[in-house]
Amino acid sequence: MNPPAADAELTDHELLQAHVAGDPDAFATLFRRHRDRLWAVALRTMGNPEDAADGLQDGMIAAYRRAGSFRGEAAVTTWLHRVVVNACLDRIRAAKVRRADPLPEDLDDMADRGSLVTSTAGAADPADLAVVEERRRLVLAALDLLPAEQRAALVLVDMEGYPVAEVAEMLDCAVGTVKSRCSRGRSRLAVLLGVLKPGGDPGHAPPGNPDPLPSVRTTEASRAPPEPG
Amino acid sequence: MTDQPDALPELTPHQEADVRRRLAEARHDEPIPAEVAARLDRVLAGLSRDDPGSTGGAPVIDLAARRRRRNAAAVLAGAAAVIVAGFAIGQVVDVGSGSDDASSSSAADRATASNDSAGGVGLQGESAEPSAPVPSPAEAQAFLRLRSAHLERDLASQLGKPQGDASAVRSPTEESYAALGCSTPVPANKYAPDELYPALFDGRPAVVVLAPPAAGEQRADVLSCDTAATLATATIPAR
Repeated sequence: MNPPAADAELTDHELLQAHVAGDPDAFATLFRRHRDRLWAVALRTMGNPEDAADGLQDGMIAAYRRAGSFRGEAAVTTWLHRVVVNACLDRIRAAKVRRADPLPEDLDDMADRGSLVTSTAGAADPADLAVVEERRRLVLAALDLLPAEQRAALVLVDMEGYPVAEVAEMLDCAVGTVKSRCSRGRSRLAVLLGVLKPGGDPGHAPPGNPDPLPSVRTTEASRAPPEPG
Repeated sequence: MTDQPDALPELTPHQEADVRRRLAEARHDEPIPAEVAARLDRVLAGLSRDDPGSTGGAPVIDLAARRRRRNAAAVLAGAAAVIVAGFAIGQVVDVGSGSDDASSSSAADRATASNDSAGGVGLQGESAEPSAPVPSPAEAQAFLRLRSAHLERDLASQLGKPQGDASAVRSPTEESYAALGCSTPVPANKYAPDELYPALFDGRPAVVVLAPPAAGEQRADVLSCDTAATLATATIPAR
């Protein structure tokens, strides 16, 4: 057996090889090296910490057990992301974790105000920080309403900043599929977040689509008594 | 969960940039929570331990299963009193051979994830309890003891060179399955002419389905005890 590979100086590939060769510490070293970012992906894909922890654990175990199948055609980090994202998506599919909760009641109102997207730069003021945090919350709430595959693509591309080609490897699909999922996901988010509405983002150039979205408010007749006269 | 061909607005570059900016701002930048990191470390320690019987896969904690278990306590009470977890062997028949799942993350993960959307409890969730029963050393001798990282080696050594209590392994009985933690014997006739062996796979109850020799080799599928999903597949020299 090779000597223990707890040394953090080893490359990811060397650690994975050491694990396959029987080093009992190599995989732990490898996984700890990347788990913060894997956690971020799992958290945003699953939508809540509890399910993210389960998904990340599933992915970690799967990677541990299938390390021998890694052929080195992609970066180890890409492979790890792929395993973890797949584990998360499996959980969502199998357990139907994707919630059908409606958007927060104030989502439309917040988007209407436009103030949420106005000034994030230099948000040192507690009030500004609160606004930033609130907008973040709304984005996550809207993200949670997307189909899981679209959400995963957006998390990897727009949140984590991975190249589309690498995300295609992670998601085991074509580059065009990733682009399509991202495009559709962004369009859905634009609707949900009120980006299409006039003044939806006064911090940027006016949008080219000035028509407001159809109202989703009730179409039923008012039950209030008729006004006199 | 495929992309729906619904009518979505086509975003202008500015709108798309706005959405992307919002997403980037919502990125999670914090490190993994300490409790989650500790949990993963425990799981890894259990996986890498050479003596799986000492852990029984106990570190694997399924929070979702725990949450669901609260709603299914009445259903589970009987099974929990008997063994670690129910061996839903009926699913074995439905799952089929699982012959192409060696590289499938989904199949490999399902057993681990214990995804029981119907409200059942995962094996891990049960075994994670401090009082979870673990096969005694004497009982464990009747099982194959397999490690995921050394599956081929373990299979070859334990199936290829019968010695000691291996006869018990090769003639699984209802008692041996029950001692392992499987409440329902595997219907061997469903897999004939494959041979079935109760096993501990990384400390978790499992069943090895060994195909007849072909071209000097034999294929071995390791099935989960709770979901009958294929946990791993290996090819060993024909015995």
